[in-house]
Amino acid sequence: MSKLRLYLILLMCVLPLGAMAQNMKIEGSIRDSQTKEALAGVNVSVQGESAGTMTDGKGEFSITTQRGSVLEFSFIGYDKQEYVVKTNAKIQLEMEPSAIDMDEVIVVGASMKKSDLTGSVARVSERALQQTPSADLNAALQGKVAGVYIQNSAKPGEAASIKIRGNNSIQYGTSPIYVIDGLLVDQGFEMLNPSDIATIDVLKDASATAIYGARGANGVVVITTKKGQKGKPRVTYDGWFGAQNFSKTMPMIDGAQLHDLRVEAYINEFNNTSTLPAARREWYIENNFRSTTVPPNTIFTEDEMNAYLAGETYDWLDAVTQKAHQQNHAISVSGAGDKGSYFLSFNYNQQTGLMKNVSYKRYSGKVNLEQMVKPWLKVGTNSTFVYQSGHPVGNDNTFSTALTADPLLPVSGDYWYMRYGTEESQSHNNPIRDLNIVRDADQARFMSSNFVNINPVKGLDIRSTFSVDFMSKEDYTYYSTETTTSYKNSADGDAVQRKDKLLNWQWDNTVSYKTLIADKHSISAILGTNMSYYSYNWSNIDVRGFDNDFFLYKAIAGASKKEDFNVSSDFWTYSMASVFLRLGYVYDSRYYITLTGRYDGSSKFGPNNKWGFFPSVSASWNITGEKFMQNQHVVSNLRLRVGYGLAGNQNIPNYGYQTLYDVRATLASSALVNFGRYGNPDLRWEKQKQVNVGLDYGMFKDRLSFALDFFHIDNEDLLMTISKSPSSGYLTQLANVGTLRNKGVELSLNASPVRTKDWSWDIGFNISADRNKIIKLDGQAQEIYNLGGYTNNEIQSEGNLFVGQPLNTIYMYLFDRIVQESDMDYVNSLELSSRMVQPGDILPLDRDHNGIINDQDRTVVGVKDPKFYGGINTTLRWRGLELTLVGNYSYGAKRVSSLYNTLITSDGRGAAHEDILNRWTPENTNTTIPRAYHAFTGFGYGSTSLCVQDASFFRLSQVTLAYTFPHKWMRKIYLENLRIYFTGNNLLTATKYKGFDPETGDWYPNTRMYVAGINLSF
Amino acid sequence: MKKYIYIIIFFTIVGFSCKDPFLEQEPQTALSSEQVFENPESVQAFVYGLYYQWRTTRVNRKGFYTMLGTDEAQQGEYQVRTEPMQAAFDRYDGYYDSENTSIAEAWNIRWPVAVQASEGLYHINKLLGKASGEEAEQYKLFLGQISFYRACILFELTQYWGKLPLPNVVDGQNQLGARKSLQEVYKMITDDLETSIATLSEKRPTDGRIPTVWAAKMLLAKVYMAAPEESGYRNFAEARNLLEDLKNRGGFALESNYADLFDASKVAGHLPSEASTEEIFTFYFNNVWPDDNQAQWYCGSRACSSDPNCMYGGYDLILPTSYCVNIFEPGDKRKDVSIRTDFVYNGKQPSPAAGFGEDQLKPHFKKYEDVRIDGTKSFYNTGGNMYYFRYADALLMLAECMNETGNTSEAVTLVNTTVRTRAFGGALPAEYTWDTGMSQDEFRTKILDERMRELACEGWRRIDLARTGKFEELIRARNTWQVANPTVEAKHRLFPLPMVEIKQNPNLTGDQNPGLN
Repeated sequence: MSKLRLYLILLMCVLPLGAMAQNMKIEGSIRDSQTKEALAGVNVSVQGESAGTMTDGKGEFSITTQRGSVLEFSFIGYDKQEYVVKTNAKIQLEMEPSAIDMDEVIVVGASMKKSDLTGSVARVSERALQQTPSADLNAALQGKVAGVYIQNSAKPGEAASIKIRGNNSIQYGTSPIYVIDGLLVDQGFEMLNPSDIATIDVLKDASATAIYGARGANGVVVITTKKGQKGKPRVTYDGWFGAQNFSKTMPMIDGAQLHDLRVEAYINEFNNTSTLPAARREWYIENNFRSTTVPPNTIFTEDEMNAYLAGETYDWLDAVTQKAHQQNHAISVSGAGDKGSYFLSFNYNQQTGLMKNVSYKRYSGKVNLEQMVKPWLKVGTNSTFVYQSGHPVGNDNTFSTALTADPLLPVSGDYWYMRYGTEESQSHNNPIRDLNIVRDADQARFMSSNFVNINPVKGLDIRSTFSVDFMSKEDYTYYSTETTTSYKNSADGDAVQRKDKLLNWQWDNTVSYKTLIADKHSISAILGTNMSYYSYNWSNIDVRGFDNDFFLYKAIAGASKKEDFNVSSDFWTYSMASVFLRLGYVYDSRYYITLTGRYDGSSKFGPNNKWGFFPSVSASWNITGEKFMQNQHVVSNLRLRVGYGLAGNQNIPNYGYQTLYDVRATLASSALVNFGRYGNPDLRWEKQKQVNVGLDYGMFKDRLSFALDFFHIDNEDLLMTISKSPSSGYLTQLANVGTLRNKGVELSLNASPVRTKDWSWDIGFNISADRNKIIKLDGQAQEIYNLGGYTNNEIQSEGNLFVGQPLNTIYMYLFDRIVQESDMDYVNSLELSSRMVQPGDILPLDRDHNGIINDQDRTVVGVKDPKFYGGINTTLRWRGLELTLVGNYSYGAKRVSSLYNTLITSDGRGAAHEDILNRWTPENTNTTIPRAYHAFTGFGYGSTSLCVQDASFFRLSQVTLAYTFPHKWMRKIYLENLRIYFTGNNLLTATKYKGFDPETGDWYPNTRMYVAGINLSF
Repeated sequence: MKKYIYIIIFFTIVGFSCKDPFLEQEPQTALSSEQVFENPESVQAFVYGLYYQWRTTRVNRKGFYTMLGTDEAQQGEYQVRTEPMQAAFDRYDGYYDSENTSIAEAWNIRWPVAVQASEGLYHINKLLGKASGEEAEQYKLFLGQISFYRACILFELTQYWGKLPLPNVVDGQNQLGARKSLQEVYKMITDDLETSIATLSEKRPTDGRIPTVWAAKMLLAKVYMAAPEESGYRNFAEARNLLEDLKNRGGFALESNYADLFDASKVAGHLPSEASTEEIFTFYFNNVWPDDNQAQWYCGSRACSSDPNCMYGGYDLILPTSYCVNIFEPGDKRKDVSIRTDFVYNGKQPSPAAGFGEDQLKPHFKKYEDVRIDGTKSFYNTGGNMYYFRYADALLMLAECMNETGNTSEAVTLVNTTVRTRAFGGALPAEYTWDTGMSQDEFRTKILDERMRELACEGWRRIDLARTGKFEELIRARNTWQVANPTVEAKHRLFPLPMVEIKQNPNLTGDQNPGLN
């Protein structure tokens, strides 16, 4: 504000007073106060009139008005400015980007100023989002906010996962909640059209999330969509086209090398198990293994031998994958008058998958309206409709089966199961046949948030918001008679129809009051209530016996195998209610304090503990507002923030407080069966106690700024499924057990080293580190194992919990050695059940030296969470040309690549990684790659710490080159703004990780996309 | 002013509507444990559920765990080589300890039946207090039925693990307890069976899942024959009385053709019209999930599994010992019904899958092959019935009791004229007719073999070996894995108590069966 005053004074000094009281044309230009860059699209309007205009691409405008009238300048992400017209002199204005002040955020049921959120909040503006052309918002957020860890999924159609401030719950829920214009949703956020979004605020600490008390434990992502701005109606078009391919291919050995590997593997097995006299052995090996004619060779088929002799290497992956492309078109129309505003948009997104037959389309429309009905009454709606339809992957294993296929096996769909050498594997469908699976899925979603705001006296707002979230999903699959799935189940064509419906509503009411006393005491209060109701149901029909494939899944009346019909359905509901009070006090824009108390109830808890109380307090001190800071010009912003608060989590299965008997059809009757879970009437809210200390710092007019936050979180009463003593009659129970401590630090840094008329250079960097530790588990328990596998009772390598260890551990044997000839005396002294361990094989460490290798010897060998992670981005501009680089990184996470484990221990019947060329042989003993072996029965590569890999990486996730056309050219073709750009996504990843991708894992390789796009508006 | 009044009214409504009723959302596709015990219809469904849960102990891989490691059955080579936990059932090695997850699974699947039955008994007794007439009669029948189920499952548990933390329901909730003495365990079992005998019918009810008095008596006889001496419940005379009664008044008869017992197309459902005259109590299955037992998947041969619809296919989990294969005398029709030696399918001799063991085409158990699915459905979906008690077993038990109570010749005659005559197709050749003059000890040896011939792969062998004291001796001599590396000892007659129980039940600290870890 002081800046504006300064300009006014300057203007008054320079200009003669007392101009004429008549219409005059005012011209001017507006630029960013920090970057000095011209601002296009700023709304310019005359107070009290509907007339208005907008700045052009050069930041210039002209408007006709009268002397004495007040011009208003507004632009998303900037502080509003006013200007009193005195003369017709050219106006030169600079607008302040709104830092943490003055911006409206719609939280549940209440409109708040962002400055009231004294906690840890990070904002991502529209401009930052634009840098990443992507159909998925999570992907666009990646690497941009400290403390927010986003892992993209490489699996087609699967959304990225997002974690705020590390791990704060053990089993139930690590994802934040999303609040879209006040509507709280916990899934499907990725369906939004990114072009509709004005800002994203990530609320990280408990005092910031306190307003969502009940559900804020994993952070809150608040999304505010665009609204119409006063001035000339505006039409925008954003379009891009992208071509996609896999960012990594596995380095595999070729057909000839595979042949040698197989021969060696069979010879090793033969030498270890054969009872033939030594004299006969060499003869047997020559005939059965080494011979190039089939027979006598027994380990290659004729096809394979022909391929080997011809030097062929077949690529099965190529047969099921394709080049993919995406396109996206978004149009919006917006505007505003004195009493109302409108924003309408339409979006079309279309993608084809990298897997054959996979594709996807999305249409979405949005209407945001606001209208002053009476001077004291305002109504509005934010409504979105999304429809998507497509063909998801028919069988999730198709890719991995094709990837690991035998490269000597000619690509063919002639047989049902995959063949590995002379054997066929019934657990691997022929991927070519999988292409006959027909899968059609669609999904419609309507999200609408509607409010009435009454403003009876100045400062008092009464607001009632009713929101609805409706989703309907249909997923149809047809396994034709040509598919292995149908063959294996003797199904004669198998049709599956799955339908899901979700209906949630939410009703929020708030009374808020705000006043300023004696110019220095700003007081605000919000009292609110919330009721939310969630209902979901699904049904699944699986019918078989079509004999032919005439009607796919569409005419299930033709299914004849009535005995094999499988039908199921479920219906559930849950509800929540809360009352909250939030008080804010600000003294002289220097001292801020906020108190929140929230009382939440959830139907997921039993009558004893339905309600929980979640208070929080936070304070901040704006040091630059102090007198002693007035006379210096170095520090432009210095603010200290402290907060403490409680947040809750109730994200558990429904009805956990009751012992339930489900229904099951058996022997022509309907039986009630309990499937192992025992009710716990004492279930209560999981509580998160969080302390946050933060510092915001800016110098040289914020050309260099940083924000630093420390947090300490104690998550108590963690909700988990625990195993019970079987003699209790029940095997599991939901319970509040355990404490998880999570500490961390986050730093984000922004700098603008160069800022001249033509050049500018900005750098942003953020880094976060968090450490978690399990302090306590159920009762005296020091560990809780994740059981699974064959018997459903074997300890898994991941998902186990140990007191004193972090949450995400890898639990295995320690790697002792690759056994050499000289170790055999020791090996023979060990009890290994019937596992074979010979020179060249892996031996785990007998940690307790008791001579038996069993579960007692397993231990935590690695942690899957990174030691630190973050992002870096930089933008270099020269006139209209702009180059942006975005990178993200993660350091210290460990990961097991099951894919690499498979490829490195191939017995030459399936594909093998090229590292296998360095395998153990009697001549090559100094290696950690075990020997080749067919039908191996020792300790697998994946059972010891040998397989734990460093998943640290740096990724150049984005490079964008953009050009904004000079405004004077554009005006000639009646355009306001025209920008074209080229982007490369995921161009480079530096990592030691041997699987497909250190971030997205092994399921599919990550993808790379080249995008060309255009933004225009008029 | 009006505005404010509206506002006040509005918030009052909102305030009230936030009260609790809104926060009470009941399940719509399940009943809570309170709702289950409200009326005869829901209790009926609960009792069906108990039978279902109990039957689950026979389904899938886990159904065979307690049959492995005997002189009758053993694991296939590939299983032993690749599954160290499960291999311990045959190897009796260092993995035969409290951390063995396969043994834990066998324990875990049985307790829900025992405890939920106990909770059911508690509630039904309460309902019975308020009911009258037909409803009361219905509740009484449920009491008898559930008591029988609980007695059966506790009998298995105590035979396999010894002393047990018995269920103890107070105010509808089971209280975790310490292990109780064998006297207390067998008292609970026999008390339950007395309840069953007092409330159940002698005639087979319309639904075969409901036991008769004879089923209860049969189990009581088994209890008297198998209870360890220290329990004070071993009593051959009492068992003999029960079995004589069953023989004289039960109305059971041996099927004339042994093969019919295991021909799924002949003996089908749980309705009386379909019942065999030999059934006393049966686990009923069919080919439709969840009523299939998947037994062939584990009994069958991998060499035959490439055609999913070949009825011989499977994965070699459980195979007969060579002693079991060779125990049948020439002409004994039970061999062909019990053991598959010929794997030619559709005129083709299958070849073993390399690397999956040398025993894929060695003799396999055949009783759970299901002709109904041959060529049409996967061998995963087998659903032949599994007998729990059948009349032939009762006759062999009776003969054993006769021998133990000093009537060896009567015992020999009984076996010759019933079970063995049927085995040879109705005419027992003289050379295979047992000599009535044999000694009591000789009879003991012979009857144990005869039980293997008659009841192979029906699940009684482990208990038979333990109760006759022949456990370690015969297993060492006849089980392939023990012949190769004899490790089994008397201490292995009981399984170790699993870690999951020891750790989570505060009353069991440091408790373990003697000699085991």
